Amino acid sequence: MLSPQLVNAIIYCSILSLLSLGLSLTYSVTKVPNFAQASFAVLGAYVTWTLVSLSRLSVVENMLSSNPQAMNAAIYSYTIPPQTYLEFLILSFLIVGATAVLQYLMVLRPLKNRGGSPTALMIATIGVDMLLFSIINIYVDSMSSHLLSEVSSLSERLGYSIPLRLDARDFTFYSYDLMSSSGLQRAIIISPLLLIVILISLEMILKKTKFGIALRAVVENPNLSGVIGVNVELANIAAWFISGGVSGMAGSLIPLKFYTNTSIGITLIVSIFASSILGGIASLYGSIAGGFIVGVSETIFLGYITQLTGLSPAYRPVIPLIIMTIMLIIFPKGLAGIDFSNLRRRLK
Amino acid sequence: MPLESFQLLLTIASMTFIYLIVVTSLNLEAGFLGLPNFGKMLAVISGALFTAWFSPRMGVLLYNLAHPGSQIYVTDYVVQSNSIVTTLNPWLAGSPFSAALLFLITISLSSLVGGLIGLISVIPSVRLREDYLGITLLAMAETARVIGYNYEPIAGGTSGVQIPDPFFGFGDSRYLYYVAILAPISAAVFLLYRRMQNSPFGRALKSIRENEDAASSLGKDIVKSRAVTIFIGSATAALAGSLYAYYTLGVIATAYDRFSWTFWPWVMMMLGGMGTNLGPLVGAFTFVTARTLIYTYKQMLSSFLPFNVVWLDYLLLSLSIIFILLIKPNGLIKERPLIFFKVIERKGDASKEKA
Repeated sequence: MLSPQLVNAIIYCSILSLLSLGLSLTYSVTKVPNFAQASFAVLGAYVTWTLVSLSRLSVVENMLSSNPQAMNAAIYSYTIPPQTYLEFLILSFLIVGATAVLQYLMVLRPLKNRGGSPTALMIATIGVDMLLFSIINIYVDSMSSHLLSEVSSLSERLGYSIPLRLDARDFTFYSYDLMSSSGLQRAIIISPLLLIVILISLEMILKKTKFGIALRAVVENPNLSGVIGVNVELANIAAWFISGGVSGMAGSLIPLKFYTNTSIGITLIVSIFASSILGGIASLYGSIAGGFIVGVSETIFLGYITQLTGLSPAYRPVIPLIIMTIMLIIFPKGLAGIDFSNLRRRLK
Repeated sequence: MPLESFQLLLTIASMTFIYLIVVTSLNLEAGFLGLPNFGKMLAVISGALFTAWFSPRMGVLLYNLAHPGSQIYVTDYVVQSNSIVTTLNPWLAGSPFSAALLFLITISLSSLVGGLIGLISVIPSVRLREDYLGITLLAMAETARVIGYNYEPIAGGTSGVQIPDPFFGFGDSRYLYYVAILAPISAAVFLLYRRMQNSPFGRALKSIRENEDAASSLGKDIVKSRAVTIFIGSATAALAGSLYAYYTLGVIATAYDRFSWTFWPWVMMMLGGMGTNLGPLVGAFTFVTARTLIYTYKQMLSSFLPFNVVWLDYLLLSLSIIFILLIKPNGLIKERPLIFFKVIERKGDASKEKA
């Protein structure tokens, strides 16, 4: 049996690694740290919220029993059906990927073509971040009132109030994700599996396909690769689509384990940046390692600290900041930038 | 003038003056030096939190309340916040000298503390490229907010604290007098910055912004310039934070978020024109007016909008950032190139060309 802390750590590390992988991908191609990365995850999380809420509503609609006890039992014994997992993973990949491409095409590319400074590009991604934040909130408000009116009209038809709570903020789908046989969460299998599948497919794409080699050429030198006939624009668009899609899938897993809110991006972005900087901001595999180190520090290590010192776990965002600070002072290029063979020679 | 529109004017005036100070300081950092300070909020919240921590303590010290025989026996500044303020305010109204002393010392010390915190915040990334600076400053500010929100001894955490009002003696017209005090402070900051920005120091910052390598080859110390600029900028923004705390008369960490105190100042600066002297004034006035009007006519607007008015503020902010960048990247006031030598045209040459 896995300890709850370990389950927590595995799921969080997988999600964080995928998010910082996405950040590193767009950083290495477009050379701008994307401050909207955490909002991609929030968008993915609300794709899950929409699908799971609709599926919970459909359970009630299909039953329509006039017996409150039976209805109650059906609502409380609800678990997310397997096809819903597939649906929200694919849907969040497509929706968030498309959002990222739109961000690149409508905001970043025009700015870059006009010779916008790195600061201008960064503040543009912040603008996109806040635009996504407001759009997500507006969507969540309207969707949630729509769902509530559905529930109340159903309640009226049946003659008693259906105890179906469809919270849109500060909710978690933790209890709908448990496997009935072992009491373990499905997310403990899905999230590392997703990470491995994405890593293998990314490795295949980057190393084996012509397109992947072109993408790596663009990362190394956009101008030179453009000269020899690589479509630099297409490489950029593909990188943003993959980055957005991967972040969306990672985000869609957040509600399965953690409390989700439209504003979780504000602190999540600090962890994402810390993982990326720890691994070396332009290094894809470094950011995976960074995600795991920051993730473990924020879950298991924080657990030990709070037990030892009695500090409130609310200070959690301080940990990624400390990691980021130490790395920037000692190894500003991150783990990927450390010359290990040189270090070993010096230690001898 | 009807009372409501007079109060609206007062709000717009006070917030414009407070934001003018923040935007001016940001303009020195981002507009002149090119330092992407996405953690402007850090200095503002430091100033406000220090004010919340220091001013009740100093008031209690001045009025000598911290011993068992006094009017109230102060032991816990957070729990007793309300009674401290209600005891101190009438006393401050009766002794204008103590009130002025309390106000001036608090805002000066807040400014100093904010400057030092700003200096600390830039340590990890002062030698690195600008994207690292932007990332770490944003992370620092977010973490400061989390600490302010959870660490109760400073400013009461989620419940906040009240601060003694040095302008309590003015009664109902307090806000009018407060504007009259804000105006000269804000004007002094504005003029001092103008002077600084037109001096060799300001030109050195611009040269670093344009080309770091060229500037350092001419003997400009980039790390030192960044540190000095962030110290001055943070001290100024912390002054604004302290002034805002005296405006609202209470400090709660949730009132200091990255939208109000980092990104709104950014948009104001970008609209006015980065790297110009007058830009911050134009930007701050425009957006403070727009935001105050939205906030005041919330009820009226909500009947038109298909969504909650709260999100209108965020939508306006994000769309302004994107559209200013795409349509008017130089802002309303364009930065003019520095001219050191005037090209003197000889009359003879001009006539030759004509012929």
